[in-house]
Amino acid sequence: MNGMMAISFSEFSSAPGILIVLIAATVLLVVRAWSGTINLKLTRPVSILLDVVIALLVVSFLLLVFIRFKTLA
Amino acid sequence: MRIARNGAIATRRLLVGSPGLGIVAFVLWTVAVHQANFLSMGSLGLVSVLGWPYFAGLALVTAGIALELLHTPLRSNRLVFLIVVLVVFLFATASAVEPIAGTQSAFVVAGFVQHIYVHGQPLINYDARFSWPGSFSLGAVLVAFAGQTNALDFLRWFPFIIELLYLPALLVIAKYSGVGRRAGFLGVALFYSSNWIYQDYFSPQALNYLFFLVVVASVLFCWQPKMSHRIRRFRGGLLDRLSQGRDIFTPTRVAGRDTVTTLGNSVVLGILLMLGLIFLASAMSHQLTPYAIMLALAACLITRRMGRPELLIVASLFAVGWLSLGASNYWVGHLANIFGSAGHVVSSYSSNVTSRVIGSSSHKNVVDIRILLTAALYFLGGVGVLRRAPNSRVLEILVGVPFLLVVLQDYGGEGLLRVVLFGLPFVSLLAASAVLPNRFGPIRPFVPKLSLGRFGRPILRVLVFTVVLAFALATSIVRGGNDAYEAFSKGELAAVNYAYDHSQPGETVGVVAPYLPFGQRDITSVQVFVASGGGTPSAGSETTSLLLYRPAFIILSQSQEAWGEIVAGYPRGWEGTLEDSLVSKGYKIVAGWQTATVLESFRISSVTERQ
Repeated sequence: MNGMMAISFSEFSSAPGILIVLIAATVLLVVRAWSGTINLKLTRPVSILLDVVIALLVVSFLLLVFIRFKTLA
Repeated sequence: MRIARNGAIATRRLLVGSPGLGIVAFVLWTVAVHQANFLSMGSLGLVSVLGWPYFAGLALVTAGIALELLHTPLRSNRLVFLIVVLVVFLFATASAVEPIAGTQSAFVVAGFVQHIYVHGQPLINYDARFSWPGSFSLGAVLVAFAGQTNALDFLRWFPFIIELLYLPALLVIAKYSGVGRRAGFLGVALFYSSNWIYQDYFSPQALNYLFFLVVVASVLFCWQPKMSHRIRRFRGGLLDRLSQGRDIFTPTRVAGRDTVTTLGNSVVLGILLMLGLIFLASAMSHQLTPYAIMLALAACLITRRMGRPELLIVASLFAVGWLSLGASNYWVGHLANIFGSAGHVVSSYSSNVTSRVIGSSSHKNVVDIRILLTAALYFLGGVGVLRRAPNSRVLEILVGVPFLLVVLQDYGGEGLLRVVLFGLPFVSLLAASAVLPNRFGPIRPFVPKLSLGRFGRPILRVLVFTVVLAFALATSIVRGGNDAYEAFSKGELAAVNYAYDHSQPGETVGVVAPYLPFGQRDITSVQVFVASGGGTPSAGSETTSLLLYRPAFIILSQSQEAWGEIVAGYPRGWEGTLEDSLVSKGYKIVAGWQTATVLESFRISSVTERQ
């Protein structure tokens, strides 16, 4: 099980994995910035969901980068 | 008739007033650079070949700035003209006097551009800088666009052009940073007058510094601080000031809601889009600047000068993303090179400051003046902090955050220089506030207003003239202080090209010190061996090094001789002794110019002839 986890982390921390998370986070940040700039009123649940997903993606990104550093350095 | 008379009056006013001083100063500059003889440069560098017209012209343009700055109403166009003339004095003089572009590093960058121009891709595992190839690729596009075969033609005037390109961004920063308009112009003049840090040569960092300035200028232009109840109640006591600090990390502050903008939505969206593109370009073009941009954005956010925190996150994602993915060739196997010195402030200080104070007395004087000039500017900035009444402390934080770069990252011996450079626009504005403080902001100043009485304006004029002239003179001396060995003659370039033309693939060209225009071509086929290894070996050891390595060609030149005498402390005429020694050990002189000699290994040439 631990071996499987290690393999999956390694796979995720590969270049395509990091790039996908990076693009996803960037797209959501663009949406957040765009809606905030044009004063688009998002409902509170949508606003919270957007912030939580962005936070999760950013944390995932940092974690994957850290694993990549540890794996390849 | 009336139109003609009005035109004559306007022309007379233009020539008699401060613009006239600028025009006369420019004429004097032209005379100075025309009279300067590059080959007679002494140990003080560029300033040793500049005659009195240069200094008289510099004094005139500074006087013009002092007169115009205290004129009511403020005439922005005239001040911009005078600042441009000041930029000509400080940043175009070397380009006009020296026949070949300044630093050796610019030639190496030209070599990288040449490689991408020829092969269409960066060279993997050759040099760490190729892991951030954005600027080199842009350079290759420009080379192709201009119909050139290499980037050498861009090198000579690049420092002057890029410094002029900084000017619009600096003017926007000055206008929207919360200092007064007069202090803003004085801050821009001080920025140029104290910018001795030679990081504007043809290089990725020079371009990325433009990105940095544009990002900060755009953010300050877009958002202003919102007046809060806390600030209105603020009376300036120490406890009040400390309690004010609690507001920095409130959710509304971090979410950017403590700001207001007067711009339309479409303008803000356009600026956000442009900033996103700049973040992307910077992330793939330079190792350090993206992190400086991140810190600057964080500073703007916590000081109520940035309304969209997404900018900070996007800039961080792009910078770390490129480091992780695009620059993996650089860090795989030696990650400690990037983060290994985190927290080693003392060793960073040693490699950045104390290790540079070496060499002859004139060289030490130049280094001492650089340190004093920077310290004086920061001292004036400190006085400005005490005297000004701003609407936010963004400038103070922007001056402080670049120091985190030295604490967190290893950038070799130039890290502290970059820290000063990234803080320079803001500390210049604070220094300007020491002379012309804004007294009308909601945050009360630390010290009471200083009244100069009815002679206030003349005193301020003299003060502005003295401060700007002192900084500009010091920068004139120290900016070209290394040019005796960092600037090259046409003969030296011809010698390097001779060695490249006659070297076989895999052969090595030897030099004593890395002060020659090499690296601009054939970076994969011809290697360059530097006997000093980047350090300052004792006299005579360079001969042993060269003979042990035995490169196919050895180039001896005026710049290396000056480096030996000024920096390494070698005796006068050491290069002649070295040449005799090499000739007696199997080298022969194959080509010579007034300022350079090429020697070829006799054994290798004999083998070549036999083949």
